[in-house]
Amino acid sequence: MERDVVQLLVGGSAGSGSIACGTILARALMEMGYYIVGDNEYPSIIRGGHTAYWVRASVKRINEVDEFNDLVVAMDHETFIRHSMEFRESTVFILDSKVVKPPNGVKVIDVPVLKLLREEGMELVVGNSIFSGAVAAAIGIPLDYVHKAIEAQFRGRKSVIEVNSRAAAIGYEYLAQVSIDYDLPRLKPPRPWGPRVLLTGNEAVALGMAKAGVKVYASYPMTPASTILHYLIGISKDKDMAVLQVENEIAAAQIVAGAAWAGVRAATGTSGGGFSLMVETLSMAGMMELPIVIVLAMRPGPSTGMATMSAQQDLLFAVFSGHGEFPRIVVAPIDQYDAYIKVIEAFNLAEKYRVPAIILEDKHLAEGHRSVPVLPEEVAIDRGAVVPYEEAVKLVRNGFEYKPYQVTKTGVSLHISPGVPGLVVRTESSEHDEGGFVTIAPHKASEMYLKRLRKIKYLRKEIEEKYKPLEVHGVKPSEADLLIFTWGSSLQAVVDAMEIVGGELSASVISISYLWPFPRRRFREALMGVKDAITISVEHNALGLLAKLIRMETGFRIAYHLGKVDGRPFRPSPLAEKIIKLAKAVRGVKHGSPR
Amino acid sequence: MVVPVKQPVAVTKRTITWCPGCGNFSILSAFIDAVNDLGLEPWKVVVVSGIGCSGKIANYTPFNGAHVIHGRVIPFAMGVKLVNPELVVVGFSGDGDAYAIGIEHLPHAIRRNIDVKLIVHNNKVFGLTTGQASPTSDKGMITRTTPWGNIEEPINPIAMAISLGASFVARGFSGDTGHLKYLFKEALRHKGFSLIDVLQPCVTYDRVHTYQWYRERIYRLEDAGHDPVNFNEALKKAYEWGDRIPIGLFYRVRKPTFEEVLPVTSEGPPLVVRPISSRTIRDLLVKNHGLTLD
Repeated sequence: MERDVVQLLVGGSAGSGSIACGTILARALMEMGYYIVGDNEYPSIIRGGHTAYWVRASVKRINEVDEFNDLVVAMDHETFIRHSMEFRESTVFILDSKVVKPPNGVKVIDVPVLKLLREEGMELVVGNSIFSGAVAAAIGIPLDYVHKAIEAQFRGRKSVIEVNSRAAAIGYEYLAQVSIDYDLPRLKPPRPWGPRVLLTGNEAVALGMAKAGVKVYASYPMTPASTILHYLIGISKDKDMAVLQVENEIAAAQIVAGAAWAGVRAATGTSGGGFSLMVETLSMAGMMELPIVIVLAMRPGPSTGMATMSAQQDLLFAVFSGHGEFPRIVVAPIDQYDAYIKVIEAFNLAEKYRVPAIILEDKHLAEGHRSVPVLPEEVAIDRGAVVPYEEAVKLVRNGFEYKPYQVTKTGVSLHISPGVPGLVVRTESSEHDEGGFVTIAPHKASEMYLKRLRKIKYLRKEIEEKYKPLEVHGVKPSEADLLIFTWGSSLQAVVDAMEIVGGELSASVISISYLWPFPRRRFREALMGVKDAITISVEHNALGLLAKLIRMETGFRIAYHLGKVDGRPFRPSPLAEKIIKLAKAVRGVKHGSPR
Repeated sequence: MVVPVKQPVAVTKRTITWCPGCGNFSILSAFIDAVNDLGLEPWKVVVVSGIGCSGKIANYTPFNGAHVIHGRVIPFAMGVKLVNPELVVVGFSGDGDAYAIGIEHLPHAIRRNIDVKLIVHNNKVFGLTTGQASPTSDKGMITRTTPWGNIEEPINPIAMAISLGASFVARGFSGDTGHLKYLFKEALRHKGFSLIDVLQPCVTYDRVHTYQWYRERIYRLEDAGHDPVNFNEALKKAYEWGDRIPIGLFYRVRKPTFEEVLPVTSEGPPLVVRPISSRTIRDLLVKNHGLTLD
């Protein structure tokens, strides 16, 4: 039977190529014209353990991978144990029975991968591509698409492409010959939706940086931010970008601060542990008014937590970290496309207001895949308060009296970097006067402190008026019985969950991407006329951090929180169930006995 | 009772708040003289300083100045240099700044050989925080935090830098301004990471290592016929301490600098004057993501 949506799972031990196999299938399906969401899970182990890759493909737009898999490639026995809750009676398993013994009663297609490899004299490492070919034949992906996906996956490595393509063809041909009694999950023909690419969040972030004109990216490897570093190193030559792996996150942040002061766009990326080390520099950037951009790709904590898993536990850390009070931008993209846009916006805003910016991702977005429309080329690049070098040279020649920390109405001072003939510029991490010299004079210290803080008001206003700090999905909040608040990548599962909840409740989802300065006015406007609705925050943390922030900034109280702390992102079906259960319980309370 | 002294005023019109007799004065004047002697234009020089008495120097030098946070002189300076290699970037640290809180950056700056000079005001003590022990405090030294004598071995910055492969390693003495100026000039002429450790008595918190104490022991390597090209000899001299203390240029070698080797900075104008975007995103999507445009 042909269907609108099919979900695949590829499971295997680390090093088995299960993630590559899943990514190749995702890419092939995207090329055919399906909407794709891909998610992966792996331990912090190079060989062994268990890794998994989910692909959800649909003829219509979808937002998140769901709970049940229609077709499963089981390269290890763990696949049956770890994912036992993700199978239905109809789930079909593709495996090599010489390697994996399936439980009784499940639908199996036995592909003798080891035997095929031996016969063809091929190495074990390409076994995953035999599976890719077999899956393609099973669900109806033409072999050409698999070849193309393999080319994209191993771009430039000719011999690797050649051998994997051959393996995929062997798997494809083998499966095409065997007779299968089961109903295979085949997709309806796609309805191609224009030029599109398969991107991870980190690839989109890196592309956003390339577009924004980042000239220095310095970083220390840390999952799940490292792939930004890898990607940027690959394009650094073409994009005039100095991309550095340095001794630690302190150095990374400081190099970026030095580069920003010296006049270019500069960024770094890390996860919570590394961000902790960057906090002293964040505060310095607040004082020195440097528009550094930090990508904080969240994973579960505290401490090392679960290094390769996903979480949204660092929202308040991003908003409040750093000693002293100073303005900053915290923005959380909702998907891969949005990540590209938000990175560019963050640079524009940071340079306009001379404040640091934090891009808040989570591992699920950072490393998960999504088919997205071709990223827009026509985006505004606005360097705001940065005076271009040639212009600065002219200004100084004409006798311009420059003060690096000039007090202004908006609090923003023009920035001229060092190196302009005839001009000496200063920056200072201690409280300073307009010239950038240390001061502890009470009136001057107050004036300068308030000058910096004044920027918050104008920054907030700009975000509220010219940007999209929040989005509303579903019915109008004033008509909703149920109001769900969320942020970042969790929005995707929430939107799909509301589809499942369907007519049972009239629901509205409010997703906030510009989290700081908090868009108070836009939030109040969105909630205008709200009835006595059930309010829930859905966040990938335990304490409902967005709900706390909203309460603090607006006084609005969100009554319930659906969180998660197992490191695995939300899946729509179980989330929908929880929402319905909670709503019913609350209704019962409301209509029944008094609280 | 302390009689108020009239504090001197820097060329930047800031009151200099170092203690009378502090070695920082001669470091300041030797550096300004060195820059002037070499005919470097003030707007081409960037002073990056850390926290401590030494850190104040950025406010007193008539050059571009960045007074950053404790221990972070090297990476901040590196960011500046990368973006604009035409600038002469000079870091000023104390022994706490460079060898305690910020020591993690030193070996890596040396490995990279980025063309940044680091001048360390080494007075064997934390001055601005009122006299605690530092990584260069001698064993047995009495400080505020080692009232029964320091039980830790001091760091030997010269030996450390030479053994790590630094391309320019020197030691100066704040009581010998002329020689200090000579060392600064040599460092400014050198291309590559340069460490100049400056021995400097803390006149307030160290009663042992006085000008007199140093003068009785110090001799110039230049007068002793030391050949700064000889690595083994340099390392040997680095371990000389006690009755005789060498100052001068220990070791110098010309090696490619980080910015000369890093492809993006190895040619073309400084990053700061290059245009924002040189290629479209679409090209990258085609090349790296297999985008096909029908």
